[in-house]
Parts: sequence; structure tokens; C-alpha cells
Amino acid sequence: MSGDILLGYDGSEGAQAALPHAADLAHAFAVSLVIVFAYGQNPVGGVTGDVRRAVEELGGRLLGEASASVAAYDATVEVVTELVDGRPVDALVAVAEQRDARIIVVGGNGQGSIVGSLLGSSTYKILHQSPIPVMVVQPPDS
Amino acid sequence: MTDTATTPEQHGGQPLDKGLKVGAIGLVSAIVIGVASTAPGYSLAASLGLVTASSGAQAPAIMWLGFLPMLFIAASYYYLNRADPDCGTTFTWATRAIGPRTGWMGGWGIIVADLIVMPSLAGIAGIYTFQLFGANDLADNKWWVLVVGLVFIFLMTLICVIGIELNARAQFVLLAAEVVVLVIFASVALYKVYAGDLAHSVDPSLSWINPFKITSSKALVDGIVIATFLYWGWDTAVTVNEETKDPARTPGRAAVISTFVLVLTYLIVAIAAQAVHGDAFLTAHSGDVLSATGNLVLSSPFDKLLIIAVLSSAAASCQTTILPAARSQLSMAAHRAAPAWFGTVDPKFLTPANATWFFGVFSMVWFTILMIASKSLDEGVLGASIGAVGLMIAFYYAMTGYVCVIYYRKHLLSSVKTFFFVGVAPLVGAVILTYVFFKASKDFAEDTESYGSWFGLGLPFVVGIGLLILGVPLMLWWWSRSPAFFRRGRDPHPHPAPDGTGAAVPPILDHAPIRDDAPLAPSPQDAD
Repeated sequence: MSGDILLGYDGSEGAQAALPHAADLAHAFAVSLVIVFAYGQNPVGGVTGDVRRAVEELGGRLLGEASASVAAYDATVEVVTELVDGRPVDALVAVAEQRDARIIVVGGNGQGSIVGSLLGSSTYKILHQSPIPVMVVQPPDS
Repeated sequence: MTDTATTPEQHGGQPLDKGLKVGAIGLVSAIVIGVASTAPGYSLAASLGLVTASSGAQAPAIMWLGFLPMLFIAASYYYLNRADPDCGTTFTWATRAIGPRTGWMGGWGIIVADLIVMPSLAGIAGIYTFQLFGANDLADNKWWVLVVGLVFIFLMTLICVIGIELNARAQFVLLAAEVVVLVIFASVALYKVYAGDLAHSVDPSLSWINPFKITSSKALVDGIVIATFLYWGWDTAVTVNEETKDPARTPGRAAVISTFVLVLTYLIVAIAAQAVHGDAFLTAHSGDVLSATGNLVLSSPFDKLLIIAVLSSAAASCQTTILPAARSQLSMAAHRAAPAWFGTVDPKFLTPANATWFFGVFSMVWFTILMIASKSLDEGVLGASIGAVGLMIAFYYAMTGYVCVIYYRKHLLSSVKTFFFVGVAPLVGAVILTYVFFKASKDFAEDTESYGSWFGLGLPFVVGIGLLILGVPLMLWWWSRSPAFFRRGRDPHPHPAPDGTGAAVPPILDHAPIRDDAPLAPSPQDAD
């Protein structure tokens, strides 16, 4: 078991808040921190490779920012980034299984009761579909 | 009550009587059908994040720029419908202006576009139905999505068969649900943004709607390509022309007004959604921007409203996709460009029952095949088929723009207004959509990664162009069986003027209308 720590990252406040906690875990277990950006798009008319590349660019940029924040927070943590084409929940679970990860860390959306309010949201889905433990970190001002 | 009788000064506007229910739809209903057909809720949920991906914070600018070619093409529909408010729309008009083969391919383009978007709408309806009831596991299971999607197509087909009035009433309910929710979402979001209730929100800026701030021509072109899909559907308002009061005027007006309603809705929602967390957040959640931002804006249980908006959007659009497909077939059959069987109008419901059932059942089969062949809604041949719909839209919208200019070419210099509205605008719209067609074709052909590839070409290109070209052998087959329609040349001059005055349009073919009470001889006897 690699026991890596997996962080689902979309650049939102919740995800940013989750970042140091995920780094702490990786440090404590002395494993890698895998930061994942997943983009699942609805296939609609006219979606061409250009748009897909634009989303990939954004994902790459967010992942770069996330790695930089981790490096600034705790330089001893080894960071791996993954840009995955797929709906966020499926992608996170797939990467978790592939890397035999220890835990998935995600940001909440700061709207109180998760179960009640997150219908359709990735956080809610991952809580119910992940085969491994999930940690949800709410953004600070919620 | 206004009837369809032509006024003395108006000679255009008397289509071949096909037995549809006359005068069933008023202006408001026609606008509702036009807007609902475009499915603003679903279009925004699925496409807004893609627009921000290509254009960043200038997504709202793309919303109104993308509206312009649509408005120009809507003008073509408006003026062509003046000459001949036939439910075959592009099929009929292209036949008159250019010739039967072009007309036939135009009709085929409409039917194929409608067919390949059906699995998407049915799939979305299935997924969101489960999400509404919290059954997220089932929403991820393609077999359950297939079952619910099939039920949706069946019910919507049934409504379309039962009658145009029931259709219009169902559309009122579905569209009201959709638009009310979108307005609530946008109002609450903007209120919270300005009240400072949302952390990391961005105050809307005038620069968002400034097209000169769009960073590159590539961003502009990508945005317009996506906007073509976003706005597609308002032409259904014209497809029900024969069932509308004052068929020569109301449908065209409804189409133009629909595009204005859409651009307003899109602008407001795009600005509100972008204000919630900025444009990058929309791009990062491009799979469904409405549920991503809705979760932040509306607290439980009101966030479910957005699921209802997308669901009713898909249901309404499903229904209004069956309408034009069936009427195109009806018109083609009535003018003997297709087997007479498709031209049968139900004597009780006064709807093109055979064509409607045929399209409904064929959509179900098509949906089932694609679902079996693909892993999920956004992958493989199903995703490719949905992606390809943009090609078909650009094809028949562009054709309609050119047809308008060609048809009225001898009238263009009659006044400044005519020159711009009947000549320049449709031509510019058509040229933009032609560009969209070739640009999207090239991109789809080269993009072998997103959906996979056949013969070294991207799958959406193969599916889209393949289905379009499939029309050629079908047309040739029908030509050999029933050449009467194909012997017809284009309309001789003089034409009616764009305002409906002047010479009357000649019939497409000199024959009795297809009616249940006066059935035509079966088609093979047309052959020499």
C-alpha cells in the first residue's frame, strides 16, 4: 500500500482550506500528497479540442498554484499532481484505487449541512461513493 | 378570432393544406415554444463553463455576440416564412430558391440534428430525475438512465401526437418552471454578491460585456461555436407555422422575439453565475456550472430548484425537438419528397401522427444503441454524436440564410430596410455559420482524443458528416422511386416581395394535398 494522501482540488475556497490539512497528513504519514484536478464536461454541440485544452490549461495552472502553496507551507512534503479527464467523483475514486491511497481530502462548500444541501455536488457524492475514508474541510469563514 | 385567410394585399402565406390544426397557437405560445425548444436551463448548465474556458471573464460578451448571427438567421426565417409558411421551413424554402436537391438536404439536416440531440436530452432528463430524488447511485448507472430516458421520449412523443394545444400547455408549465428558477438564481446570486454575503465573489463589471476585451480571435471563434449550440432551437416557433394564427406573420415574429428573450436570459444568468466565484470557477466546473454555483448561492432545499430547472429544460426541449422533426417529415411527404406514409395526419388529433411516432421510436432505438455502445453519457460514440449536433445546426441555419438572400435577390434594392434586413443580415449570419461549420468540422476531424476516432478522424466528425452524407443515397433512392418532386425546378419569377405583397408563390407540386380523406396513390406509382 502506497498510502498516499489524495486531495481533490478545484481552486475553490474549500479546496484551498483543505490544502494544509492534506499536507499535514502527508507529512505525518511520510507519504506523497497527490493533488488531483478532474474535469468532466458535458458533450454539447461544438465542444472542440480547443475548449478542452483551455480547461486543461486552467487545471494545470491551479495544480501549479496548489503545489507552490504546499511547497511554501511544508517543503518536506513530496507533491504529485494529476490532471484527469473525467467527472470529478469517478476520477478521484479511480486515482485513489490506482494509487492505493489512504484517504481522500476534499473541500466543503461552506453551506452548513452537507447532506441536505449538496445534492449533485462532488463533495456529497464522494462521501458516499469512496471506498476509502474521506475528510471534508470547510472554508474558514463558513 | 383571426383566421388564416389571406388578406387581399397578401398573396404569400398560404401553404399547402396538410390537415394540421389551423389557428391553434397564438404569438405567446409560439414564443414559449421557441424559447423552450432552446432549453435555456440545460444549455447554460452544460455550456457556460465552456464559454468561460475559451473567453474567460468575457463570457457575457460572447453571449450577446453569439446572439447576432442567430438574430440574422431569425430574420431569414421571418422573411421566408412570409412567402411560404410551410412547416417544412428550410426544406420548402431551399426547394423554392435553389432547387429540390438542396431543399431535400436541408430537410434532412433538420431531421438529423433533431435525431442526434435526442439521446442527450433523454439522458439529461434521466440523470436529473434521479438526482432530484437523491438517488445519485442510480444517476450514475447508465442502464437506469436509459430506462428513464426512454420513458421520457415515449411520454413526450405521446404529447406531440395527442395535440398541438396540449403541447403548448405542457411547454408553458415546463418553461415557467425553468425560467422562474433561473431568475431566482440570478437575483439571489447578484443580491448576495452586492450585499457581500458571498466570500470570494466578484462584482460584475462592464468590461464583462465588452467584446474588445476578448483576448484572442481564437477565443472569439470558440465562443461563437459554443453559442451556436446555446441558442439553437428558436426555429421550432416557425415549424409550427401552419398551426399558428396568422401563419405568415406570427411564427417569424415569435422566432425573432425568442432570440431576444434568450439573449436577455443568458446575459443575466451568465453575469450572475460569474459573479459568484469568478470565471475560473465556472471553467473548473464546466460539467454543470448551475449546480456548482447553485450550491453556493441557494441553501437547502432551494438548490434543488436548479435540478428542476435543468430537468424541465431537457423535458421541454425533448418535446420541442420531436415537433420540428415530425413536421419536416410531414412537409417532405406532402410535397412527395418522402414516402406518403409520413404525411398522414391523425384525423382526431390533427397532428402528423406517423411521422411523430416514427421519430419517437427511432430516437428510442438510437438512444439505446448509443447507450449500449458507450460507457457513459459523456464518452464514446454517444458523446461524439451529441458533439456533432453543432455541425448540423450550422449546416441548416447557414443554408436558410443563403436561401433568404437568393430567394429575394430581385427585391433587395427596393428599399434600404429590405437591403439590410433581407440581404445583408441573413448573408452575414450565413457566412458566420458557414465558418462555424467548417471550423468545427476541422477541429472535430483533428481531435482524435476527446471522443476517440475512426479512420484517423475524430468521432464527432465521422458521426456528424457521415449522417449528413447518408442523406445523399437516401435522396437518390427516393428520386428513383418517385421522381416527381425532383423534376421541379426552382420557383420562377416573379416572387412575392419580402413584405408578402406581389405575386403568389406557386405550389411546390401540382397535386391534391395529402389528407386522410383523400389519400394519394402510393408512391411507387409516381415512378415512370
